[in-house]
Amino acid sequence: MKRQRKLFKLLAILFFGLFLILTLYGGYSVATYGNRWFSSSKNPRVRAQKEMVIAGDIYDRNGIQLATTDELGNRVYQPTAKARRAVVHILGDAQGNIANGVESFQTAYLYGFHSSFGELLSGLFTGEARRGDNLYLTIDSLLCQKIVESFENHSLTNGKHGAAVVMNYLTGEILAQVSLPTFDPQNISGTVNKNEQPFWNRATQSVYPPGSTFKIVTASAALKYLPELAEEEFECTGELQLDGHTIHDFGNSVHGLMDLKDAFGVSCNNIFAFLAVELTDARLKQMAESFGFNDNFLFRDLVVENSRYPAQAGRSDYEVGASGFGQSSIAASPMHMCMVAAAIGADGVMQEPVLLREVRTPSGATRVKWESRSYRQVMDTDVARVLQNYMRYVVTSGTGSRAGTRSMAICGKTGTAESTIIGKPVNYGWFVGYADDISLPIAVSILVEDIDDGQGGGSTAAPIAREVFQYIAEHPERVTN
Amino acid sequence: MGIPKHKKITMESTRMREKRKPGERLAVLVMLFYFTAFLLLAFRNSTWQGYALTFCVPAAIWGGTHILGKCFHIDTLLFSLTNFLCALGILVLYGTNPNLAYHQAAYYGVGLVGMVICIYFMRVFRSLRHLRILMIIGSVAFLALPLLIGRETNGAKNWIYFQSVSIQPSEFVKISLILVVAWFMNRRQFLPWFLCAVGCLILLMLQKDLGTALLYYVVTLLLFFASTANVPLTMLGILGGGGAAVLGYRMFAHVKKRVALWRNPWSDYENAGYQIVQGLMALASGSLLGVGLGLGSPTTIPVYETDYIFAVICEQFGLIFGVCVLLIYVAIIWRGTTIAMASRHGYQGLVSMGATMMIGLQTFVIIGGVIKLIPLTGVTMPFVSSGGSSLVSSMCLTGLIQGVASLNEDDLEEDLKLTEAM
Amino acid sequence: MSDELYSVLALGMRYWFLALGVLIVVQTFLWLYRDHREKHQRLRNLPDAGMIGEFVVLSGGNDLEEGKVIPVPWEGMLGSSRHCDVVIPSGAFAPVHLYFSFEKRMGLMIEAARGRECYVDGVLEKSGKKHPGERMIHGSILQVGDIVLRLRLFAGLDVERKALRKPEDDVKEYGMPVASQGVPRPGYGGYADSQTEEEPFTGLHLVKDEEKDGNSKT
Repeated sequence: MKRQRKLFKLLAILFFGLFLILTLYGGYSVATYGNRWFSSSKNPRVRAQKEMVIAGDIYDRNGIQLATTDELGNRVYQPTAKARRAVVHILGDAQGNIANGVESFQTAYLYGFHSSFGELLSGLFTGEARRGDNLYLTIDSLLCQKIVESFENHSLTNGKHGAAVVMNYLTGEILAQVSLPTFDPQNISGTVNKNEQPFWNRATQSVYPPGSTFKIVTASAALKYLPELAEEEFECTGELQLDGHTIHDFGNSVHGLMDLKDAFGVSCNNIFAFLAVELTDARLKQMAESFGFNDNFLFRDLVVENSRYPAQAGRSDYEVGASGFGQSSIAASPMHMCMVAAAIGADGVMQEPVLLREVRTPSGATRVKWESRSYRQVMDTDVARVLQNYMRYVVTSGTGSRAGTRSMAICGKTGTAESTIIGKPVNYGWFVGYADDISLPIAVSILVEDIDDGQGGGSTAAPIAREVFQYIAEHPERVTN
Repeated sequence: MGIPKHKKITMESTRMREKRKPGERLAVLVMLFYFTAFLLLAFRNSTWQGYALTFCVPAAIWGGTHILGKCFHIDTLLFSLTNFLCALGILVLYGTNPNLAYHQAAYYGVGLVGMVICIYFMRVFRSLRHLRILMIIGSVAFLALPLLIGRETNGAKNWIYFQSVSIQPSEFVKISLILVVAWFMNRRQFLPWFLCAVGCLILLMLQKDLGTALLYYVVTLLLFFASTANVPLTMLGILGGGGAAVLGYRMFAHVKKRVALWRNPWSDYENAGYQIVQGLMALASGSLLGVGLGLGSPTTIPVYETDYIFAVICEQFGLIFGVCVLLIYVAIIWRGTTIAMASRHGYQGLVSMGATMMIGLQTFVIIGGVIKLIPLTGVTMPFVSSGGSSLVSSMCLTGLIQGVASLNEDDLEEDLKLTEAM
Repeated sequence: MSDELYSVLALGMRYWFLALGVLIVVQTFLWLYRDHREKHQRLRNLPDAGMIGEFVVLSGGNDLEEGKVIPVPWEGMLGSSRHCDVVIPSGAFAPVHLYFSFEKRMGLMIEAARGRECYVDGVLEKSGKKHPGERMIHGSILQVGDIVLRLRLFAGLDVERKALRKPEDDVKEYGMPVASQGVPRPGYGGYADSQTEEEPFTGLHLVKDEEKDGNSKT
């Protein structure tokens, strides 16, 4: 009996533990995923509320109104098609064609689900129709337009698909997010070509092989795990043999003898493949995960597709070597690569990307105002400083020269990633970089899909980045207010 | 110093009994809660039934506690908590589907009768030797009925339909299982309870009522552990259960589907995943404080009245209130355990603990399914879920615990009398 | 009532319901806690609550002192393990040696654990079908190896009489040297005496000191 009593107590404590798990898990789930579940387009509650409440307005950081509801109840965007096309992937549209745009992701605020009891009560007395809250985003819509223009103006990128992300690397604010092809939300049938998949937000929803931009990760790993090796000189013969495969460089060039900085600057595949094999898959993977690969991104304001670094064990030397320059099943979204560049610019601290600055009630009072949050500490400051040096070298004397401008010190990395889609080879041109300027701490990531033969990131993506930086240099008040 | 010690004890015991003050306060709070809640709903619906409920429910709560309390010793705290949960079920149902609420209220009455029967049953079980064998046979037979004359619903064949009433035998066999298993485990007679338990499990597997089978198995295993403290065998039982679960996963297609849905309910949103997704949306929509009684969209969740009633509660009252409901269940478990620990005879303790664990485990399983901690299993939420069988059997389980409590009270009185005899 | 008015009202009332809900939970746990304290207090005041009697050590071998009193609850296990309800810290007893359960009007029913044996009033009790269990009444003797315990039941517990063996019925297997008639054994409470006693023990140990007087009535 005594023993039985003790066991009863034990069992009761076990049950208390079970219920505690229930509470904690439930709380955690709803806190992290609650908004996503609620904003899902399938939520019938929202449909019902939409009939009763006038959706709130959306503004960019400079007060330009991006979306509002007119007297007839229709959703109206900016006056010109050009303006609308530039921001449509950020905003989303009322029908939910674009997944997780602000219009749908922030349904809770836009349709007044967060109205306090007092507001509802006063609304009842005044008899006015209920309005949702107004959102103030971090983006600069004019910058978005500039990017779209830039893609269209350059011959090598005109008509091509791609994406661009511009971020403030000290605060994590997203200044621009563009996805091409794009369309006019007020004229969907007229401007949409379904075959091109225009509703897909390529900046956040698509993942691509990062190509040479991944050398940032490889170089960081080499500096961290093989510090002595990093100081040595390497010989690039243009043909590295691994497991019966040969690694070539871009344009089959042979770089000869150089140190790590040079290798980074000219983007030598051979040397980085060699480094990757020296590092071993495990350590390179560890560094990649430190950068956020294989993470489950659960950002507050936006949904970003997870980046991948292959996790299976026992990969061949060839696969590991290819990982060294960003091929071999590694994939990242343009958003994440922007965060990678931003992390270097911010001395090794990766900030969480944010899209919302503030939510205001219909009467103008601030309902919520958000602070920036750091996402992870990617590396030590001294390693970051070395990489900053390397990335500056890329722009001053390396493959990224076309991204440089006289007015700012641009640092970056180009990339040309190879892939095949249904057997046909497709190349992607990347440029990721940032401005080394404490008053304009801006990071950029440009991706161009399906670039022409013989072109690379330096010729296709870098010039667009230059125009972004020029815009920022000319209009600093628009991005740092 | 002057008062002889035994007199002091009697005085203290009377003072202890007067300390029923917390009971009064609790009953008042519960009555107030339901009075205002039903009043609010009645305002909206403006039917006479609404107003009737506004007065009847609090009156029933008060009446039940006092009247039953006079007849025999019942544990008032447990009864209050049970009433709170049952009334919560009726309240939420009334907000969405008044007909169901009336039925639920009627079933509550039946449940009360069942509870009283179970209390008497507990007191009488020791002396009826032949009844026990009869119970084993009866349980297995009753459980086999759906296989013979039942209809298949939702992939499981565990209901019997009787004119207009539907009964789920597995809910009632729970009670006899606990009684039988506790008795023979206490006597250390392995075979009878083992055969009974295995027989019931096989029948449930055949009926594809895997959720209830899980409950039976775990409760029997835990009772075994409590009565024998045999850790190796218990571990074996756990492994065996795990093995059976894996086997079930491989063998039954619908188990595979359930597990896949648990991992990603959005994959089959239109059909099978719809329920889980709607439930999650309800939870998110309720957030911390809820959207308000009678609001929200509970009817968009399929089967909201039985399995998913917790999601409806969380939507309308908020997550904090949902946690409060969980805490009420925790209090019931605590109380059941205390009663089990205070019992004089091993058998009574095992019965009380078994009933407590059955209620607790069932609650854990269903709420775990709703918040996507574990796959959905098709058990209902005790007391709150709509449905006659579920409500009546939960009340009968409480009846078992109350029965043990009343036996404890009797034993305590005997002790005091023994003391005073000196 | 208009939908809008109702929704505002319901929205306002949720604070009320939540507050009440929290209060109810708080009250419940307060009640639980208070009962918990009450129980401890009660246990302290009535240390013999839940006991039906006690074992007195008549002969303790090397491990127990004579005259030691061990309280016996209604139901439980007896053995040398500290998890038992009646702990006999002696090697002669297995960790769980036997199970006992008090039946009203029958007495203390004894069942030996698997593979163990003991003597109840001279009768061998082993586990298994052939030995259905023995019962002990007030004055009954339990013996395992060298250790002899005698059961004393509290007043108010009426138990059917049972024929206890007389000293002349002692058999060698009993293990005790045959008592010569009429000669009280030195240091031994007087087995012969207790055979003739009519009244059960009528004391309840509320205060340990009372015992020390050596009530030789029993």
